[in-house]
Amino acid sequence: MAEIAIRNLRKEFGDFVAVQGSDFTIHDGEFFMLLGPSGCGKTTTLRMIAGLELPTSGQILLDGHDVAQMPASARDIAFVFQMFALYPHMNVRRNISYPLVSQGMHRADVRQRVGEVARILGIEDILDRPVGALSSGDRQRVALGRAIVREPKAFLMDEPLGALDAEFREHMAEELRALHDRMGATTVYVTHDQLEAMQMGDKIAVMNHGVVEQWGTPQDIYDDPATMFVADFIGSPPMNFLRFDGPLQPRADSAPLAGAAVPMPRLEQQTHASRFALGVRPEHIKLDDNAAYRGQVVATEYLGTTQIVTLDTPNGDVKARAPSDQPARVGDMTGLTLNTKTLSLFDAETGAKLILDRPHLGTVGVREAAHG
Amino acid sequence: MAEVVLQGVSKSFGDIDAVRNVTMTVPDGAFVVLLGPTGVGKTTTLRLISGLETPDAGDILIGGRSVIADMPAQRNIAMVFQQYSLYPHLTVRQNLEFPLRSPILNTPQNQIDRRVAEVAEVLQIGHKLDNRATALSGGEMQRVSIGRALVRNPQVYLMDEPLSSLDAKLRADLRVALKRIQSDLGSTLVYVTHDQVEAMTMATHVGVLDRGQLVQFGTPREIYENPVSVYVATRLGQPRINTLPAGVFGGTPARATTIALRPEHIREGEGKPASVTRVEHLGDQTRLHLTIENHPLVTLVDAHTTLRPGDTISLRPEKPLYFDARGARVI
Repeated sequence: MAEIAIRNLRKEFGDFVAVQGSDFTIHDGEFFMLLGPSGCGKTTTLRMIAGLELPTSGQILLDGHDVAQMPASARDIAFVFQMFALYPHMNVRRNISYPLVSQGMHRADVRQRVGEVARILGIEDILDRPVGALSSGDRQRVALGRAIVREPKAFLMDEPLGALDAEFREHMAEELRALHDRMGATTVYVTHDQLEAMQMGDKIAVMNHGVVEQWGTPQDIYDDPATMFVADFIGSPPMNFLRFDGPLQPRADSAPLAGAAVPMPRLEQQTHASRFALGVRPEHIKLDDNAAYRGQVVATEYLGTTQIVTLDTPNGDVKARAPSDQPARVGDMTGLTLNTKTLSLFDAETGAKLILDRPHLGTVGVREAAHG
Repeated sequence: MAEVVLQGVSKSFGDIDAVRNVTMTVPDGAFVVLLGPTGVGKTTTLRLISGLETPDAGDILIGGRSVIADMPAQRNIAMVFQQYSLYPHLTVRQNLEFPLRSPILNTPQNQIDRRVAEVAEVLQIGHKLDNRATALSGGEMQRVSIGRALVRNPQVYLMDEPLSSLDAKLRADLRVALKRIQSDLGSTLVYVTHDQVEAMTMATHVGVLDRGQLVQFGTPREIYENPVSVYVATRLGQPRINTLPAGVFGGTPARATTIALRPEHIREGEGKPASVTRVEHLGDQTRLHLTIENHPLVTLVDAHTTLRPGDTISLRPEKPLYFDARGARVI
């Protein structure tokens, strides 16, 4: 098992900079997600870790050894591609055995290893079937088996669930995660699906235009996004931005929104920014008739226990998550109360977070408008 | 705009009964979502309404008149397919104008311009109007093909998973936009999807299909809160409703073999012990994966819970639903 440290990694394709200044550490046994929109450099990063691309500069430390310029075959890493490729003329057992047989392992050892892998994946009963006759889920398990059987230092996966329909995908995501919990192998997983990343990852690195904008635990990234891009990419619906013009004095503790001084945690840094965005998650907005800051309901979306209410405010459309039994009709005027201690503040020009005197949310309960 | 009625409609393809005796009334101005997994008969139902397929039995009425004998073109419907099909040699604007330029409609130019501009704005393609259709991304092409249906004013819109090829953000925007256009126009819309979020957020009525049969028809709230079967109960809700042997919490009603509990309808603090297997932080909510007498169970807890795998908590059901051995609702 392995720790993978990425140090100032860069990749250029001609004039195009695909990855720049990447720095993060994947600890031993972690399920690590590389998340971002298409073209952000996440797959290129993964391919560099695998050795399928050589970086232009920077280091990839595998257990402390720089492997950045080493060939893929020397890295002891297994790559699971987006499209699972199996040998169609072989049965399940021979497909899974193949990596070991080609290494020249003894037959008895191969048999034992394949048996173990089949047990872990729950496919013991189909070992002697031809792969052509399998369901898509079983094909996926077989492909995973072929990656696992080598017992590599780390697994790299490039959107392995991308092609599946929603229901099956959720099921496979759970299965993959449970498999990881049993085996504890370091895994790097590329996805553009923020929910998948939140759901499966121990840590997430969010990439945009070749740059890692933030990495950390899912909850920390959600609660305390480093940039407006991250705040917008994570969460569904995403964080709302209430934009206003500055300047803001150090230690300011309210934001001037449409004439109302909306309280926020105290600003703990100097800033020369002139345009700001106050960030608030939909579940941290309470519809409250008595609040000074007001908006008009323009849409409601029923989601079972909760509903998403879209409000037209002086600062643009704002989405709030409210209990579904709370009355909200299109056309209604209502007040909005923001949960002060959860607010984020950004420099609206650079998109960077500004430091507020905010408790670390990991230690306090903030979901007052909880499901229920 | 018009009411659509299906009366005992069936359709087979060889040995496969794709649609079995479906009776359904789509009220005038309703947004009906047909929901179900792949292969359940949703698309076939839509194609029967459009006239692209002919039923083996039953009748279809649009605006009170049987259309069984009508060709698709005579039914005055606008259809959006999962796979977009645009005129590649025309610009986006020309593609959008095309349905209005039909000699039968003879729409005045200023009306065409206004309609195209409105639809383009809603679908966020206004800046691409003068691009060639082939110079667009897949998501943009799909929006143009939705737009081409929306510029018309047919009796009924029929849409077959029109958003499935779009990315998550755009899908979320277009859900709201489509719903708004539909209610502004007061149009009748039948929409096919396997995406439960689309069904819940857009529909005035959801029709749940199971192996060719319409098993429940009602508002999203009725379907969510009052499902007729385990199958229907598992169609809506994320995370999915938990199903356990009825006796796990004691006090089983007669004939009940399964208890189903929405993740948000499980109370913590007293009752049956359960052990935490995994804590999933999704930001706005945290999902707690548990086992109770070896049965898996998912519940929602405070986003910043301190619970960890291995912890034991006590649970009791709230608003449980009970089902019999065949999956039908008991109470």
